[in-house]
Formats: sequence, C-alpha cells, structure tokens
Amino acid sequence: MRPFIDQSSKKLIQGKYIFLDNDFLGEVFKDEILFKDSFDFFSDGYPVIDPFTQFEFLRDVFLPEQRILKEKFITKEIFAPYINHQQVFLKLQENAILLSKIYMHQYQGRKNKQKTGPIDLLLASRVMYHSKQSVLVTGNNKHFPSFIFDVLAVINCQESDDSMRSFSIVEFSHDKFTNCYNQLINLENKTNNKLSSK
Amino acid sequence: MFDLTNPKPNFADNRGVFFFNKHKRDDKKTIDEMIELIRENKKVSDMILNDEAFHRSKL
Repeated sequence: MRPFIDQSSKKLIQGKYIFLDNDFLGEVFKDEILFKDSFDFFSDGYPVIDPFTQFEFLRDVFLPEQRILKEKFITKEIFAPYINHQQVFLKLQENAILLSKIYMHQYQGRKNKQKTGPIDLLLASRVMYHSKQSVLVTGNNKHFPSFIFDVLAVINCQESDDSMRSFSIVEFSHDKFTNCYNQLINLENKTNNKLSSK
Repeated sequence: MFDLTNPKPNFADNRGVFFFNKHKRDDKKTIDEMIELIRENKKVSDMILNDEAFHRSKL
C-alpha cells in the first residue's frame, strides 16, 4: 500500500489519544509502509488499542505462529496502555445502548440502513466517553456516522491492484450528539404520553 | 446507578483514566521491532497462501 496523508492535519490530533479500529490495525499489521507513514503521522498523539479492538484483532487466528506475532505486535510500548475498569465498562454499556437507539432513530426513512455490530458500538461509546481528548481511525465511516462524528482527516492508500482505500480520522461531536439525543428524547416523551393516555 | 432501559450519556472527567498520560516510548527501536513483526507476518501469510503442502498438512 502507498499511503497519502495530508501532513497539515497532523496538528488536529496533537496530544490526543488515537483509538484504532480493527480494520485499520489489521491493514497496518500487513503493510510496513502504511504502518511507518501512519505512525509517523500519529507521533504527536498517543495511539491506543481499545480492549474490544484487541479482542477483534486476536480472535479467529488459525496459526500459532501468527497468533504469537499478533500478540507481540499489540503489546508494544508504542501503544499507550488502557486500563480496563468495570466502573468504566458500565458507563460504556450505557453509552453504547444509547448510541444504538440514536443510530436506529437517525436511520429511519433512509434507504441504506446500517446495522452496527456490538464491538463498533462499544468502540464508538469509548470515543464518546473520552471525547474531549480522543479520535478514532476507521475504514468504515458507516459505523461512526456523520450525524454523530466529524471527519478530521483522511488517510488514502493506493493498493497493489491500483484501487484506492480510505481510512478516516473521526472525532465525536458534542453538538451533533446533543441534537440527536434531544430528537430521541422528544420521540420517547411523545410515545410515553400516548401510552399513558390509553 | 446504571440502567440500560433508561440510558444517559456518560463522559469522562479526564482524570485517572489513562494512567500514563506522558507515556515514554522509545519510538525508533519499537518501530524497527514492529516492522520486523510485520515482515514475519507477511512470510507466514505468504506461506498459508502459496504452500499447498502446508494446507495438506493441516487437513
């Protein structure tokens, strides 16, 4: 892969925790040029692997040789350590179910409805929880949609067959979230009033 | 109290979550080690893709 990265957007992620989605982490583990260029771009921030992403990265590995390489790769000190605490997990669960409600509400009436899996919802909830200091790198914007997240930068990659692949660096938007959350609350209040009047 | 039937948004107060905020990294050495792991992974992946004998041995 040959990556194309707009270096002027480096300042947007300066000092922030950079969560990596599994699709990006998987590509980085396959391609040393993408790894080197993207981690050079991230050098003013702190790349972090969320425990859910770690689970996705390590599952379904057939060969012990490959499993060992993967385990060594994600335990390198280049990734800032993230402590998995049950008190935080309870908050993440609550964020994740709330986000899933908002996603479904916002997708109503759209042709291409997306169903986001539990791991991506929990990852989105983590980025939401640490929104003041975090961004996320993902190859699947549909699971981190524009009605909640802002795209800060894009890493474009030319693949060996000349096709192009993009990874976005997204940030949780409090304004967008508040707007969606208020819409959801209004809908729930209306529904509750209807039900109580019956 | 956390209630999945009535969820409320939760945001970190940015204290005490990331324990090593100024995490020290020996980037050059670490990056070289990680590149070596990526190369090893490529060798294993190529072996899986190309080696029929390898596939037969796993059947």
